Amino acid sequence: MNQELHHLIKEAQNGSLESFEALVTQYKGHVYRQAYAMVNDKMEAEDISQEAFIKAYYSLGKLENAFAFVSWLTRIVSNICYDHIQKAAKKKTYPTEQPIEDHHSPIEASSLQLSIKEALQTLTPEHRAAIVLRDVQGFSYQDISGILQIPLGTVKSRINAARIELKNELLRGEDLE
Amino acid sequence: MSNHPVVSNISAYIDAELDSTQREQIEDHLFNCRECLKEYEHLLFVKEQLKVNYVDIQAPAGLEKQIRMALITETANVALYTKEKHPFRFLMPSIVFGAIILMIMAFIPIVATWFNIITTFFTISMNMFHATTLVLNKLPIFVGVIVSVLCVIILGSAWSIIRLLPTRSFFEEDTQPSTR
Repeated sequence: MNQELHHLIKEAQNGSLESFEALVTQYKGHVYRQAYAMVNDKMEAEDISQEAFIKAYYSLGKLENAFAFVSWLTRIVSNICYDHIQKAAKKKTYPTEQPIEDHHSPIEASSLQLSIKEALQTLTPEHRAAIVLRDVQGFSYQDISGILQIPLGTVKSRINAARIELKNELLRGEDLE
Repeated sequence: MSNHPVVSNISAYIDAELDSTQREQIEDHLFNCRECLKEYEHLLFVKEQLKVNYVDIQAPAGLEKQIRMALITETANVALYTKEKHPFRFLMPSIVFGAIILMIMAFIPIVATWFNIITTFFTISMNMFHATTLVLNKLPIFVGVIVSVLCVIILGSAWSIIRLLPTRSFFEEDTQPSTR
């Protein structure tokens, strides 16, 4: 982290809205990409990004180490994503509309190949978060362990399991050999 | 695949998260195991696909402005709710309270004077009432005469009014405009 960024974070911690806006400019892509990968919906990703930055602005005083800003911001995004995914899951549990009739046979359905973005949505939120932080955001296992507050071994197993599940989804119906 | 002791480390190997010993073990195994090598290629493909599909994702153009507006609105709301924590927040109520106290002190002499006057009138009224009851008790004949005289006066007044009413009608008729 360069000195300019460190200075911006410190200024924002002292209540400077201009400095925080500079941080938004710098990290909006990072935040939006993570949110979009997690929920696969542009509008929802926008909402999550906005919510994350507002939450970050008001919680910035609690950040003790300015050098941990990126990990801290990523943790905020992850938590908001979990909340949104849980809410979406609850809505799906109690559908208000009649479900659309599926005319495909199970065999036909199983042979449908998913895109990587669709396949990502089939993972559990925990596995999805781990793989997104690693392959989309490029964090190390150690960083992911800190962001998701789980042991290093769990990070390793979640990423491995997530990749295997994604591989199975992508190669569904194809000959693996 | 479960018989391959290092398969769970393939992802960590791809991510360069193994120490040198583990890395060498994996490399040796992949060199000799076609099945694990295939798995390695698949997992590497998944990693690359994720990278390729999300690397170009950019935040929408309006997001920054949207966040800025939301922050300004939130800041204004917070300022509004915390306005009462201003250091001079007790100044205005104190001034108003002081002014009320001063007004009360200034009006005390006036209020006291009026209170005295009202009290005096009340005392006089009570004394007069007491005197009247005494007279009624002590001089019943005199009171009887007075009451009779009053009745005569009231009746005489009533009779006069009855007599005057037709007279008033005569004058009213006289003031009507002539139709001739």
